[in-house]
Amino acid sequence: MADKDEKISLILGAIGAIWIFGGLILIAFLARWLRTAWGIAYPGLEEGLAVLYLISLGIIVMTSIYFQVRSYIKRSNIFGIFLFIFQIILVFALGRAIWQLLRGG
Amino acid sequence: MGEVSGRPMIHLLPLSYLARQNWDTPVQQWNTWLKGAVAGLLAAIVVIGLIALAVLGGLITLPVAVIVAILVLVATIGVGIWQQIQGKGFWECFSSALMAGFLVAGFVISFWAAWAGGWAGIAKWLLGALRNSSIATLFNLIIKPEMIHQASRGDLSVLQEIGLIFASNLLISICTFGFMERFGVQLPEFKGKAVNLNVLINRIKWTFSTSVTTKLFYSVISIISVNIFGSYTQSKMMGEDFDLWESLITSVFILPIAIALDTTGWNKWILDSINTVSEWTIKNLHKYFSGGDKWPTKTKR
Repeated sequence: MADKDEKISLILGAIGAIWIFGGLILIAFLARWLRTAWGIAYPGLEEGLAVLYLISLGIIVMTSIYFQVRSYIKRSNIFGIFLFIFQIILVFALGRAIWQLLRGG
Repeated sequence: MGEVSGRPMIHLLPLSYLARQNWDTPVQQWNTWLKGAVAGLLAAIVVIGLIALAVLGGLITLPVAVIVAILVLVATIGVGIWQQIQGKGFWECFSSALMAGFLVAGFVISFWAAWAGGWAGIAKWLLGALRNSSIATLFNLIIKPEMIHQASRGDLSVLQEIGLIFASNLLISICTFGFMERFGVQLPEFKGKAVNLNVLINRIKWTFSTSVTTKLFYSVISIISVNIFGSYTQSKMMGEDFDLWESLITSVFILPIAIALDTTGWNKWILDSINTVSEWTIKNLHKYFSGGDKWPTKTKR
């Protein structure tokens, strides 16, 4: 793995894998603690946490794909194009999902 | 008289008994383990067919293929028999054995392909699988954001569903890596630019008329089959119905486009353009945010 971009992308991908589960458990407990233990009960608290989770996961995964695309393009690898198109689609889908969550799930 | 009528009786009884016993044995065997073994053998033939295609396409070497074929045979027959003992029917035994055979073949071939790059290759293989699963899981979460909403309301039962999505993607990614990696190496590389129409035509002619063509044909067929096997295994793991057409269409569409772009040299051209555009964007974005220049006309000049 001499390619630095690929290395960054792979490590970010692994961090994303941990955050998928770790982050989800964290927001579940955070929502519970905020409401019951600390008595903070804003309307839309859960939605806000869900959006926060999706945005943070989205940023990690998108950055990982970005570095992968960069590494592929440097090596003239064909799948860089597909990944590039896929990333654009993913950005729009992510935006739509966040919008959907903000409007109440 | 009694002796005459008695004789055939004496002879017939043990004969028919013997015949029945001889017939009973295969039937009995069939109902206890043979059915599973035959289903497993059938699955092994299918998977070994895939391995043979990969050998013809130059994706794997013959010694590796032989080792993989033996392991596949053991795995499919073993799983077939085990499934029958669990009380499953013939086709259920077959589909489970097919899944097991594909996973074993994919795992060994991927390990072999990864090991060629040493420990760095192994790391790339496993981390790459984690990355693919993260992307796939994010995509699933985007499609069904109510899963996150449910978790944020304190209901962690969705973790099981998310875990299954992640695990199935991880397994498929680990087991298809070898084929994909070797396929990437296989693609004939275009040198130079395809700006001249004559060069382009010659290039297309070359792609379809040399020994590369046959090899490419076999490797493309095996990659499409690997994709189909992968989505079959995944839908089985997720307990969903498998859509052969959908899987076939997605595999068939992407590959020829990729190969056509690569062999004609357009790949390089498009990638260069993407590179230029993204570099330009990032450079300007950076300047824009750091306040050095105003977006975007000033920096272009």
